[in-house]
Amino acid sequence: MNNGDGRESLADYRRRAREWLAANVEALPRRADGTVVVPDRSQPTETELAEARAQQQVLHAAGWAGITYPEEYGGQGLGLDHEAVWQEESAGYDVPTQIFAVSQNILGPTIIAFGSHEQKLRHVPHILDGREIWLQLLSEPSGGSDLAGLLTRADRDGPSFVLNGQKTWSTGAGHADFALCPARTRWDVPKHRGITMFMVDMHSPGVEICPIRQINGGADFCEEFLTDVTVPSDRVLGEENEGWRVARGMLEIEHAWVGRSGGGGTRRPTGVAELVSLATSRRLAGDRGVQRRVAALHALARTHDLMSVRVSKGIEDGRLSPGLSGILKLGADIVWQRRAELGLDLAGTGSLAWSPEDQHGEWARDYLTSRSASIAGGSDEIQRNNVGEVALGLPREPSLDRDVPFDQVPHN
Amino acid sequence: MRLDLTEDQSFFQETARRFLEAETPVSYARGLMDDPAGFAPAVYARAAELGWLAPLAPEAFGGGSVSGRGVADLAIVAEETGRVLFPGPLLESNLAAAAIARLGSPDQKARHLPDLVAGRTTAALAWSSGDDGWPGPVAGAAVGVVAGAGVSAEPASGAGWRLSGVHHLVPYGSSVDLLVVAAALPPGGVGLFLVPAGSTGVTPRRMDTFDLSRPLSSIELAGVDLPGEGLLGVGTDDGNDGNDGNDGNDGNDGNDGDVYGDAEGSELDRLLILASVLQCAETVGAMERCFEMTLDYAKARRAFGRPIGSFQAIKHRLADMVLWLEWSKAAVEAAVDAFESAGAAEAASVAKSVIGEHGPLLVRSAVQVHGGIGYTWEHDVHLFLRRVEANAFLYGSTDFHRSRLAGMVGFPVPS
Repeated sequence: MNNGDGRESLADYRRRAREWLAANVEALPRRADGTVVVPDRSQPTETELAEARAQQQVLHAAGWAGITYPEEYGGQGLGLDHEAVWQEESAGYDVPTQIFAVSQNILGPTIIAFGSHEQKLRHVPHILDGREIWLQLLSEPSGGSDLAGLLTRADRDGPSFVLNGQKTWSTGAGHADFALCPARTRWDVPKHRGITMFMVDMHSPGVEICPIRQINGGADFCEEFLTDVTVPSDRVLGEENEGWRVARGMLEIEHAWVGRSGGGGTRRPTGVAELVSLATSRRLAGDRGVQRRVAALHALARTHDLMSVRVSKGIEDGRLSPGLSGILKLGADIVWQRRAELGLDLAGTGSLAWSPEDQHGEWARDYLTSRSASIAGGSDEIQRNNVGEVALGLPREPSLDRDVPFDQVPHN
Repeated sequence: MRLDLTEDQSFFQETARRFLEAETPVSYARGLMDDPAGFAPAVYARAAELGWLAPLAPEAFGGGSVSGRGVADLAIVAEETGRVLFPGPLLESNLAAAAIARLGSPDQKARHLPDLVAGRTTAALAWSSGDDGWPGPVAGAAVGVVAGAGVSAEPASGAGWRLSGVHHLVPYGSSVDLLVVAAALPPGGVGLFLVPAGSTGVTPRRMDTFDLSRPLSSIELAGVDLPGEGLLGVGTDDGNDGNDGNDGNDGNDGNDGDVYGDAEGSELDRLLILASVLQCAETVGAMERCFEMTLDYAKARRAFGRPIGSFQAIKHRLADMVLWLEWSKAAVEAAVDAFESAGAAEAASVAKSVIGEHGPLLVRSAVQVHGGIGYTWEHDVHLFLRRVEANAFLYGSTDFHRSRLAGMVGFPVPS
């Protein structure tokens, strides 16, 4: 059966996914209360990485990778509905979603949107089969929200460009093969007009990667030092000096994805079962106030998922402004932080000190990690600006650097 | 508005909006604030002509819906009427029609439905004790309020009934023709009774209200005598089910032996879910219009030489308002879509929880962005503030619905 548009019906697709997963993939362990224990692969070892790549190859060969990607570049040519079904069905299985999440949900779609046919043919199939892991090199130590004020420079040198500068807050740079990296190619024009987007081979000489330790104790973000890194000019994505357009497009893709998925790479469960368990273990399950707070969170988390689908589709078919993608991320950030704060509250003093086998440590960690939600990938303040300016048509704040050649703008 | 309306539904929606913008803009509701009835029968009759009272009634009695899904069509109407705070017992009469269509005997249906559908008769439900809770015990929910606790029914001479007690918060209770009254039955459980408003012993009292565009009355029933056929049906499943007004599941959807797919949901519960879903649609309409007014104002009003909407303090507030509005729209859509499924009760309470929180946040922000003018009586923003805040309590408060939800997500239900 199909949908009338030639695509397999969602019910058939779900059945097929379920059967394939049961036959081919290991199920994830579950806790006593039935909730799934999702392994943290944010900093994979060499062995885990090799396993993940091998597993991804199997998924791709079986037709479960690149669900929404065009068929000519190795995808399945299906819609967000199908992707959501796959995510729901695969949530309880040990599929290597996390390691490839940024690569396949942000970078791949950006290359699809802005790349030449040759660039797409060369990279997209490998992004899908796991041979290439991509990341973004966006933020710089001199500024995060003012992305267009970047200082990394790219100078022409015959058939190539030479990049010099420093990037930071890159997710998973430690194991990435390629990056999309905007750099300044002109300094004598206003900031948005002198940027070019490069496809940088992370194994090139001159790329140095250092992990950054975060407030949650982890180190899945990195900073990168680029010293005389040579990039051939056929590795420019989009037009020279038009990189801001590509960067904006990439951010919109990112926000829409984060909004749909909660940013975890898989559709994040509302966490309500975990919260009920937590409340029970803290002997708070009979407390009417606690019950209502958990119920309210459940209602909001569920609603955010539905809103994401509604708004993503509306943007996809042109009925809603692309600027609304900001509320997808904004809402996901709020839901995550609210859940994490509630978890910390319910864990109470249990989140101050715990024994290693105890689950309370997870709530403490999740709370700390959740602080990044409203900063990473474009802070909530930047999202609100985008929603206000792009979707609602409100005027921008006057800015002092907008029409000034970049070399005359004071910067950090 | 939904993004997935059928062509017929879009036409229905556009017609509704055109009618309401032309005939009953907010100034119309404002003009009726001190009116004894709170609505104009002639305008109400035109709403009936547009088919706004038909969606939940069977075709045999003049009913019918545009899409075959009465609740979905009525949600469109509710959203549009919410945008202008349309005065009149439209939602209440539809709820009464739904109750009669589902529970009524052939005679009761024939007597009341054609008049309700045509707008010749208006009706309202009297089913609130006035406490935070609302009728509608639901299996598995943390809150099971004994419905109709404020009113009891006693068997009276000649197989009739005598109703005594008080109900509160009855919209248009002083001006409707017919009341659907919930009353505790002697063996336990709750009956729903059809009480003509003019019956001896019925005293409506119009209250001073927070929401100025929708009158609320308390209804005192001082030994109101009804004939045996005054009983519409049994609203709960925990009482005596010997009475059989209750067998007539021939509502408009043909196969609704159990509309929820939840065998334990009671008739009162079904009504509460329906009321919640339609009210949430109305609230979203009011939120949307209130947001549009605020956005227009932020673009037009200037301070320090530029539109106030260019300041991030205002811009960010408006972005949050969009988020709250889109959450609310999604919650209503889900509740409408789930109405005929096993997830109906949960989806309705999810909507009441989300909208009961974010509706008030939105209207408060709307007043704030308007500044001084927003605090004036003559500006419309306070009418929306009043409606949206009030809706967060009517048909079960936000807390009430969160407690219901808690029971559905695995918390122990207090006995």
